[in-house]
This record gives sequence, structure tokens and C-alpha cells, in this order.
Amino acid sequence: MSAYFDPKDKKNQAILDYFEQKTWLFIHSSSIVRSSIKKTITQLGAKASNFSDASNIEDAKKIIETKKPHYVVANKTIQDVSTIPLFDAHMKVMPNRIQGGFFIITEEASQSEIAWALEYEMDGIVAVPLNGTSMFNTFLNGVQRKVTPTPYLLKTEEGRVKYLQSDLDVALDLFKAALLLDKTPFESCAFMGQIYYDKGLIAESIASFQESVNHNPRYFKSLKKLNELYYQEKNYSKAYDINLLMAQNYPTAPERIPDLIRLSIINRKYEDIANYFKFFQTIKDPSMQMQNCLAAGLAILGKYFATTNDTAKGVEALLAAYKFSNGKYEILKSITQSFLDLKKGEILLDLFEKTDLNVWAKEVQALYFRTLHGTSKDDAKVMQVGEKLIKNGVMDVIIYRGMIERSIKMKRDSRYIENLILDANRSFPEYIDEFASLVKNKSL
Amino acid sequence: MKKLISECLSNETFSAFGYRIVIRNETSHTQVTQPELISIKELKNNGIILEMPINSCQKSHTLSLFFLSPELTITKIKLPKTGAYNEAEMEAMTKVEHIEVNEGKNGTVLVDMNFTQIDLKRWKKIIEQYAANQNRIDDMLMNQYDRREK
Repeated sequence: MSAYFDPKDKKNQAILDYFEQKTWLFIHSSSIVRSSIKKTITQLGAKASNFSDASNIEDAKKIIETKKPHYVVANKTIQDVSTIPLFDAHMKVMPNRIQGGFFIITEEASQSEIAWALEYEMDGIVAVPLNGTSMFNTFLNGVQRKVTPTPYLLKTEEGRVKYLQSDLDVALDLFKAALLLDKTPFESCAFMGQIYYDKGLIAESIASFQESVNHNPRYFKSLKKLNELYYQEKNYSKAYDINLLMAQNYPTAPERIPDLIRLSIINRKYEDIANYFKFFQTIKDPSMQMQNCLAAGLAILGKYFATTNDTAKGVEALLAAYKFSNGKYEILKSITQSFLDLKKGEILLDLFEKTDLNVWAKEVQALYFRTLHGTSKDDAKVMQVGEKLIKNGVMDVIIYRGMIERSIKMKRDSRYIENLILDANRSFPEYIDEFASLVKNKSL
Repeated sequence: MKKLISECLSNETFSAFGYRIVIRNETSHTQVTQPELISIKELKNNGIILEMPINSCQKSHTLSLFFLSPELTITKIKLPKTGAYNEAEMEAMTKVEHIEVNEGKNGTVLVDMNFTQIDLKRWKKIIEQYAANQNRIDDMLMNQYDRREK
């Protein structure tokens, strides 16, 4: 039991009463884990007779629909299936989130895991490994504001119920009434913003979400939606400001970093670019997911440095991007273009030739060909590689384009070139005109 | 307050948190030396629950647990047949009390064990580290509802 919670203290009676009257559904495949959680919330006043269990998604769905439990405590995945859709199912049967809520159990203890819980307005994340005292505090913190709700919160929840029932106009009136009941009504402003958005009133939506953020610059739901709206309106300067607020208050999920780099570039925040570059160099042993994000981010940086002719930094960023790319085609495509723009294709060629490209997707070999064609003076080698790739079923217009150009340069037999073009036209009919123009231009 | 998004990035966010464990079964004289096969499910005051490969142990077996820092980069771990493992930050000896087949993950079991030998002060510190991580998560989720500031 938490050292700070005395069940005999009168001030805690409201909490005990709240927990006592609530019904619970525990969704986890392990009875040991379910027992540990039940033991914790029993200490907060919950009654064992109000508990239900589910060890798979189907049972969980049935119980949510039939028993309509006030609270759900679910492992993030069960039998490799995400339980996140159950959140929406629960919201349908328990729309009033003062009466009920949702806690998620997650194996990933890193702070960047929090983003999706914020997005779904979960009441708490229980991080594994479980610990009695920590769990106690998580459940207590998660419901504290619901135990004795203010008139503002009650009115806001009334509005939420109507919103979820698609009664938008009544919901809007309820939220407007709620605005008068609190000095910082950020939740109601956010709901109003959502309703205006649903009605297609974008300017009003932005204004409401912005008001929500003005009242509370940490309210994640509003920050996220406002970011989306500013992007939609191509207001990248405001999008930057909102993302800054998010980054100041919450850990940045790695998959967001490439977009954030693009945003810094658009906003000409050159110091950001230098900082990202320095930051990436400090990350030791990144996970596979992190590597994908680093590679994408570094590729964007490399492309940026190529546009500013900062060759040294560009090459450094691109080399690091290649290292973390794990053969991802789209990232390597960007890296290839940037190396060629920097006129340093020979560095990439060397990397490709030192890599076992067979372990990567076939399409990547087309990028190798492109680099070879873009840098090598050895026509015969280019042709040899091209023919081999086509024979192995690597289908990319880059290969045909390169081979046609080299064949003309080598003054290959006209029948060879004709057959090559026929083959190219068959494989890429949308490029017929381009292939024809290659021959025409060289003939002039 | 930081004025650039890039200044808000922190290595802490992207680094793995939490200990990894390898096990030597003192009763059956077998070992589980791939930490990715073992995960900590619950920390108790006087014990621990681990998920591990099926048939790693039976009820009443004695296990030595070796706690490894997440920063440790040794790829192949070789435990001695007896005694301490130098790379471990902490060790504990346990007795298996209960085993449950893990329906959530084929080929694994959840093993509930109590400590028979442990440095309780160090164990308490480990629990505090995990609790601090949970607190950070709780604060991040709940502070957004804090109405004290405008």
C-alpha cells in the first residue's frame, strides 16, 4: 500500500467510495498479472465481486458490450493483437469519462511510448514490470480528478456524451455553457474545436483549439490537432510553434523526427539542423525502429546540405544515413540523389559495392545501377550490370534509361538498341516517349 | 524555456530503460544466457516474477539471477558454472514458488519466485528506479490536466 494513502482518513473516503461502486474488466493473458492489478485496486476500495476477466480480444469485446464495465485495464496487446480498438468500443458504452476510464499496461517502459496514450486520453499507463506501490499511485492519480468533479467537468462530460452520440449542436451548447464555469476551460475549447472541424469550419476550429492551448499549453489533444490543422493550412510557422510546445512538455517519438527536421528546414531554423546533426551522433546502439528514423532524418539533412553545397556535412550525414538505412529503398533513393547532387556519387558507389545487396530488397540494386551509371566511365561494366539486373528481374526504368544511353554512347549495333527499346517499352509503356527521345536526341 | 525543437530532444527518451536478466538454474544446472528471452514482469518486496522460456525451471528449483545494465553491450554471455558473474550489476538467489503457462506468448512461462539471498538495500534502489520511471510517465499523462497555470 502507498505510504501516503490512509484508508481510515476521512479525506480519502470519497476515493474509496468511488472505487467501490465501479465495475472493472481486466484484459491480460496472465492470471498472475490480473491478480496483481486486482490486489492493488482492492486496496483503493474496489470490490472483487465487480471484477471481470478476459484473456483474449473476443471475450473482452463481449464483456464490454454486455456488462459495460466502468473501467477497463488492458494489456497493450493480447495474443499479438492490439487492444487499442477496445478503447473506442469502451467509449461507445461508457462515453462519460468521469464515470469510467481506460488504463493500459505496456511492456515498453520508454518515455516515447507515452504519445499514443496521450492521444487516446488514457487514464494511466501501467508500465511493466509491475510494482504494487507504483501501480497504486498510477490508479489513484488516474481517477483523482474524477472523484469529486467540478461543475465544469460535469458539464464538459455531458457535452462529450452528446458529441459521441453525434448530437453536435446540443454538444456545442453544452460546451459553450461549460466555458463559463471555469477560468481555464481547455477541454471544452478542444471539444468545440473538434465539432467545428467536423462541420468543416476550419478557421473556427483553429481558433478554438488555439484558445485551448492558450489556456493550457500542455493539453496534448489540442496541441496535436492544432499541429495537424496548421499543417493542413500550410501555416508552417505556427506548426513549428505548436511542435515546440509539444517537445517542451512531452518526449518526442523517434518516428516524428524526420517531419520535425523538414519543419525546421521550411522555417529556416538552421540552428535546429546543426543540433539534430549533433544529436544523432550521440545516439549509441539505436534500436531498429530508431535506426529507421535516424536514417530518414539524416537523409533529409544530407539533402539539405546538398542544396546549400555544404559538401563535408552532406557527405557525413549521408554516410550515417546509409549506415542506418537497413536497405530501406525510399531512404536509399533519397541518399542516392543527394550523393549525386553533391557530385560525390563515387563514395556511394564504393558503399554499394562493399554491401551484400542480395540481403536487401531487389529494388535497391536499381539504385546501385543508377549510381554506377551516374559516376562510372566504364561503359562495358555499366552494361554488364544492367543486363544482369534485368535478367534477375530487377525492374526499374532507371536501368533501361541508363542502358539505352550507354548503348548509344558505345555505338552498339542498331538492332541491339532497337531490341533494348522494345523491351523497355514493353516493361514501361508510360515511358515510350522518353525512350524514343533518348535515341532521337543522340541521333541529332 | 527552450526556444528550438531540437534543443528539447533528449537521449534519455530514446534509450532503453530497465535491467536485463540472465539465469543459472542451480538445481538442474542449466542456464538461460540470452537476456532477450527473459523479461521482468513484476517487482515484489521480497521476490520477482519473470517471463522465461518454458522448461527453464520447475517448482522449488533454486535460481541465480544476474541483473545486467541496459548499457552492457556484450553479445554473447557466458555464465560461470558456479559463483559470481563479473559483468552483472547485481545478483540474487531465488526459489521458484509458482509457474504459470504464458497464454500471451507461446513457449514461455511466468515464474513467481521469492528471494533467498539478495542485497535488500540494492533491490529497494532498483524498485525505486522503476518507480521513478513510472512516476515520470504518470506526471506526463496527468500534469496536462493541472489547472494551476494559465
